[in-house]
Amino acid sequence: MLLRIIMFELRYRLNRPATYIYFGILFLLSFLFITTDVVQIGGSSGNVFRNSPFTINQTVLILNLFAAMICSAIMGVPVYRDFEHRFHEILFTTPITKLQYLLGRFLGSYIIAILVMSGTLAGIFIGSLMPYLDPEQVAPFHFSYYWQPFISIIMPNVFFMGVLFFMVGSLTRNIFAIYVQGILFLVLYLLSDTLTGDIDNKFISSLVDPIGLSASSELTKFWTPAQRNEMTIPLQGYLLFNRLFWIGIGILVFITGYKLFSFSAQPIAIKKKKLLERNTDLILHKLELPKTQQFFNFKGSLMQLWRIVRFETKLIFRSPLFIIIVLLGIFTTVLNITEDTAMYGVSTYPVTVKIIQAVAQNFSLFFIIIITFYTGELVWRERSNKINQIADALPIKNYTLMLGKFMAMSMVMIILNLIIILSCVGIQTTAGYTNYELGISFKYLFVEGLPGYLFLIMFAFFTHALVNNKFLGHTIVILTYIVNIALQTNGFEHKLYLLGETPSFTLSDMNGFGHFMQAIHWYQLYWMLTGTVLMVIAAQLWVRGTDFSFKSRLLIVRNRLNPKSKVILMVLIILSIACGSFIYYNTTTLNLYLPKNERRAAMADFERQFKKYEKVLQPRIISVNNSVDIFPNERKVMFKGNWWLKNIHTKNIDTIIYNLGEIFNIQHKQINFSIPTQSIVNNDDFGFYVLKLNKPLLAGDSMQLNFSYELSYKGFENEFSQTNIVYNGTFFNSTILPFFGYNAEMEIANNDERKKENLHKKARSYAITDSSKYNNTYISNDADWINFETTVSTDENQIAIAPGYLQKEWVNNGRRYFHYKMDAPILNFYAYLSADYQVKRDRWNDVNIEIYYQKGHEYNIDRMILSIKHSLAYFTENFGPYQHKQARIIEFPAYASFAQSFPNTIPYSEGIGFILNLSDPKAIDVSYYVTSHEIAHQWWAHQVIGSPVDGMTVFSETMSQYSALMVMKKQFGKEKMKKFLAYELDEYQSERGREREKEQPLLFNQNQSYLHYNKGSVVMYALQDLIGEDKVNAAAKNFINKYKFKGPPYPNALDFYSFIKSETPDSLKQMVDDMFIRITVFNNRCEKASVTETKDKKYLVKVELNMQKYYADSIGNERLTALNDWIDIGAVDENDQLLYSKKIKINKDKLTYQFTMDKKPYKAGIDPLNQLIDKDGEDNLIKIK
Amino acid sequence: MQLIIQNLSKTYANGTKALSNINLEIPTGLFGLLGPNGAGKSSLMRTIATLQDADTGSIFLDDLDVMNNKDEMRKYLGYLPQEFGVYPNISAEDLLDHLCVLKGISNTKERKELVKALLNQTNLYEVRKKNVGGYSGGMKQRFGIAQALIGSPKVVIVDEPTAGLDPAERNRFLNLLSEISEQVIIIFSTHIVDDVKELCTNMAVINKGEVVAKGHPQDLIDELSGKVFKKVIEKHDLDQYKNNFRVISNKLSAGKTEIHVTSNTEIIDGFELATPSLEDVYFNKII
Repeated sequence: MLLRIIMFELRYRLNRPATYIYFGILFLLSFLFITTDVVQIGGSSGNVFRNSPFTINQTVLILNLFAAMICSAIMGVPVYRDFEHRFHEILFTTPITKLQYLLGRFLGSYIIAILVMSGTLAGIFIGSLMPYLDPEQVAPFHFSYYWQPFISIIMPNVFFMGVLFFMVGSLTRNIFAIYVQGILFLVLYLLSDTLTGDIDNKFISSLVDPIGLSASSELTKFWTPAQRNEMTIPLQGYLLFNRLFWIGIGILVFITGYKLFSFSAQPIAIKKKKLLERNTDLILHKLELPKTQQFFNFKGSLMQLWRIVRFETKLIFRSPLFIIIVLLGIFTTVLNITEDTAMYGVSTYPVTVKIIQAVAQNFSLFFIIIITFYTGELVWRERSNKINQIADALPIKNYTLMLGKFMAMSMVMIILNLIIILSCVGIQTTAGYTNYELGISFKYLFVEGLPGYLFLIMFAFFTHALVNNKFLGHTIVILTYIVNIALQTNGFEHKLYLLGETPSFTLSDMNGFGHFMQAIHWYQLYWMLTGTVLMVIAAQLWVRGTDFSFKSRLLIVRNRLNPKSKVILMVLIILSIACGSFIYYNTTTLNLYLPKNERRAAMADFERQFKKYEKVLQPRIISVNNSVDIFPNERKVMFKGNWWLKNIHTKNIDTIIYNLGEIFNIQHKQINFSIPTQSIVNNDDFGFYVLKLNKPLLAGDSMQLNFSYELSYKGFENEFSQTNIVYNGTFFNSTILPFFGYNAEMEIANNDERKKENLHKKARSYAITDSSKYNNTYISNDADWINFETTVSTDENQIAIAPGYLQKEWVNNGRRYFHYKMDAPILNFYAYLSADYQVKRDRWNDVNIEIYYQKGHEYNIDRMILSIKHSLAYFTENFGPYQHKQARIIEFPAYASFAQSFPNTIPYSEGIGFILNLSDPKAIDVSYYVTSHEIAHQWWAHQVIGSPVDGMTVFSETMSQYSALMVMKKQFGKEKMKKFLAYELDEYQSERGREREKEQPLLFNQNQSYLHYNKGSVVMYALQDLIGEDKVNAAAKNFINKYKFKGPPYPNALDFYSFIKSETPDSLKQMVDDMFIRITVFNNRCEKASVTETKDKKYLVKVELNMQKYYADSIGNERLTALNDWIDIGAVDENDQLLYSKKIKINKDKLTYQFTMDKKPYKAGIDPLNQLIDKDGEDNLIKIK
Repeated sequence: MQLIIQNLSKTYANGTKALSNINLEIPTGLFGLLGPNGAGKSSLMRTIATLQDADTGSIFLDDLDVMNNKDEMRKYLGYLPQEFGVYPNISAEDLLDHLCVLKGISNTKERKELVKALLNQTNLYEVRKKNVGGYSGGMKQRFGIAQALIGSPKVVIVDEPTAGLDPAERNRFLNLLSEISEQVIIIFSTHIVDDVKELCTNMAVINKGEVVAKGHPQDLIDELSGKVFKKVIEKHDLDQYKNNFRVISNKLSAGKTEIHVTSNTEIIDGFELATPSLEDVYFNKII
């Protein structure tokens, strides 16, 4: 009997086209993912094969999640179907048991759902056979690559989701519930996703994720590309627990559902619906109805309109599903934001500009869900509730009705936006922050955000009116969103066709809404007009009545399209086109519109045309004197320069090559060299110019360059790319000024992208042995150490800053002038800033400390000043004197989030550091750290700098990290450092798995931030622990002394390393090499730890240790290697305070070690401070039994 | 006041000919539209109720061209469809109030009174706060008539209102209809002959989209006088009779089958002259 029910279900399903459509969708998605870049699911990149087991696993997981809706459509309906077709009345009278019935229906659907979900595997498999794929990116076929995700992902996931959906569908027998539970599941899923951000919650977060995505990423997050290419995700650990847990829950759900399900006709409803007993019957009074007056004039229509708005809004707000979606939205949003940490586990103060953006962005998904779903519901409201015949015969005009429904949906959006603002205020208040700035919130949500959503509502209205099929309507609307995303990722970026899109921008405390709103208003106008056109068309197409065959609808449209409607429509269309044309003119004629792929092609073109000039010798800039006039309110800058260029080569120079960045926005350009020139190349598109000197510049001779031009912006852009020069918070650096020679930095760097343009592969930096590159620094190839002087002017109420010391400040004609002059040689790398600043001043010895900040951002200024003082003290003592008499930190708007060190000048983004909430004493003081790192750059980069070869950033970035770590260690202590280094180690290990090309050893890193920052921190900290801080500092000081302000030629990483090595005792050289010139990974753990109290009240601790050391190659193939290392053995107390630590030499992989200590430890084991790069740092210490 | 339907024809997209050259003049009073299921009654009523268009033909309410002035027609219309649902979780009072506004009754006080009167009239006052979705069939039907009466309509169209009602309730329902029919046109459809018999001043029989009979019920009955014969036969002889006579109806009576036939000849052997009923008229027309 059971078998027959299953077979019945299977036969039924296999005859349904939907089954094949679902399969097809999944097949197509994964096929496209494997074979093209159109669909991006995440997984493969660079070194990871398109069909690597890791990628297959990831693809299956993610599609599994999004297929929740399909799963619900398959698993939710079998029982509902029986009831809908009134089949249950027949069925329940047959001698079939409840178990047979439920199990049969369930298993039948389960088998189908599994087959459908296997569409992903089929798509990947067929896709990987496609001949046009790059064979380098395709892994050979292995059955286990497919079998494993089938067993560990598809089967259990479909089981759990299936049971849940099946039971909800069977018990509620409500098509609505079946329809939304898949979406609901998806939304709920976000919840567990937000939890994984917290580093301590690994077990719980991987357990509560019913799909197994978190568990699987937890298992694989440190996998190297090689491992991703070869290993299937083992069904063990987190993943196994997770699978068993959810299968168990699934079984429980089934049992519960089985118990609740009854073989009767009444479904379980959320609210028990009982038909009212018939009260007394129709009684015949004499029919007397009071006289009423009906108004169908304008006022009457207004009454109707307002009533529709109220009524529909109320209905939406009464819908339990709506409330659930909104609550979920608020919940996930609030959770996301309160859990969100900016850096190193520290979050920012909930300043309004930040919170409102984050909340709006987090909630946008829910807005789109609500718009999509409820606009459809609104259009279909009467028909879904079968009251359409009554409603359609009512004396209300189509326009009134549609407008009312549209306004109801708008009202919902308005109310939700108000709820968002309330959530913001709630988040702020909870955090003890009370500067609500409601005006900003209102403007951001209602002026900036709302119109785009209103358009989406109109679009959904139009779609539903046009296709007149609810399911199809929803599908088309959702597909449109997907197409919108696909267009953007494929080079179709103009917002004129990306529905409802307006240019996006960052709100900032410093610059507020800046210059952004004008462009946004134009786009909004365009969308409102276009939306109104759609609505007017929708009004013609609006189905009223019962006859909606295509023929009749056509006829109706013809009848409705009276001259008046036609005129309105034409006018609207013309206005929309006019507005669109204006936008088009502004964005593509007045400004440069270059989609990603065209930009790439242009860059390739540049390389092909001009690479031949790469080796042409150029003079070096030796002296710079700039006059820069900043007009913040006009977003305009006038540049005037007087530069000296010197031929430092041994050959004469007869050709000058110069470049101008931002050529598109440059006017009144005048460039004069002191030697007359003739133009050879004059390419304004690339801002690339080649001149012939009428008289060669002799070796050792100098010439002068005088230039002037104006940088200003016309109209508005399709996407705001120019945020350098703004109303308040202008910040640009010297790359905006002319530079010389062919600059290889302007070539496409990403090798995948280069391949698309048929360019040869390019390394990220030159080989360390390429001595021809030693003559440049990695930031400049047209200057060495220059003299610098500048005058900069700005509005009277702003302060303008550039490197150097203020010589003079004056006001003239409503403008404020500053004259800066530098007394020491600097790199040709400087910045200009201008804003309405507050200033805080302090001193360290004879160094002036100045912090320029936005009013209201006082939080961490004292920490920054303290950090500057500590850093200057430590660096001066250990590395040598500071070359300037001033150290300035200058805040700039959150359009970028970095801090950058220019000579005596450190621009520091408002997004990091300034608004971090560091009030928790346990938090890592990120402001202190970043400040110290940037101060360190005054030595490491501004005194010694590398040439653009492998390892170029070791003695700038890595040494700045080291310097900051030492200052922090002194200030905060070793245990705090462990916390900091844990983040660094985690980041390094995660990022190396995502490496696109090859992981280099630290010393030869190719400007890879996970190496020079994150691994650099870990390695340098371990190094100073191993050979001593004083030794490292001695090496550093000696290196600086030898190379400071020297070059060309410039030193490289090997030069630096020789200083480290010379301070390293021979016995440790092997270990230091492991750190710097090899990729070394440990797998150390403590197997057992015990303690016995000795007679003299001491504690004898015994640990059994297990160690492995691997060398990895550039894509992560690991090779076990013999141990011969000094590693810490140690013990900590309950608070992770280190009680004991001793380095011992370890040369075998198993070791039992004993030590005595005074205090009873809590945990003991190996490498207690996680100083080594360990695959799993958490098993190093274990609790003592 | 008069509703005049001329040459109304409608063929659906799937080829079904729903209305075929319908011509009717409907005066004030209760007008019964009789016909078997699928005859086109609902199509005709929906066309009058502005819910669908005809391919050809016209409908005039006095001077008002209904099909080209739907919005105007809707002002005078009360319509109770054959089947209808309601919005979820809404009380009778609220829903009636809502429909009142949409029918143009802007004055809140007037509306309140009207809703109260309607609820009293249909005896739903006690359950006015209850969710309409939870009403029993009869109650929902009463609610349906209540909403159709909002705003003193000139034309009330009720499609199969008595389906699903028990006989007593049916009676009272029809009485209510006849009560309001004095100054308005009430068109109601049914496939139950008895509904029409007692109450309607005028009627039409529709079959396969055509008007096969129209007029006052008694006139139609009179037309058949002397032409209807009846006979009690064995059940197995029925086919034989059907071959030889125009059998308009047969029904079981005490184990035997009584058949009615029509004939223009005076006497048929073994048959007995029957007093024609409206039922005979109906069956005679739709056979």
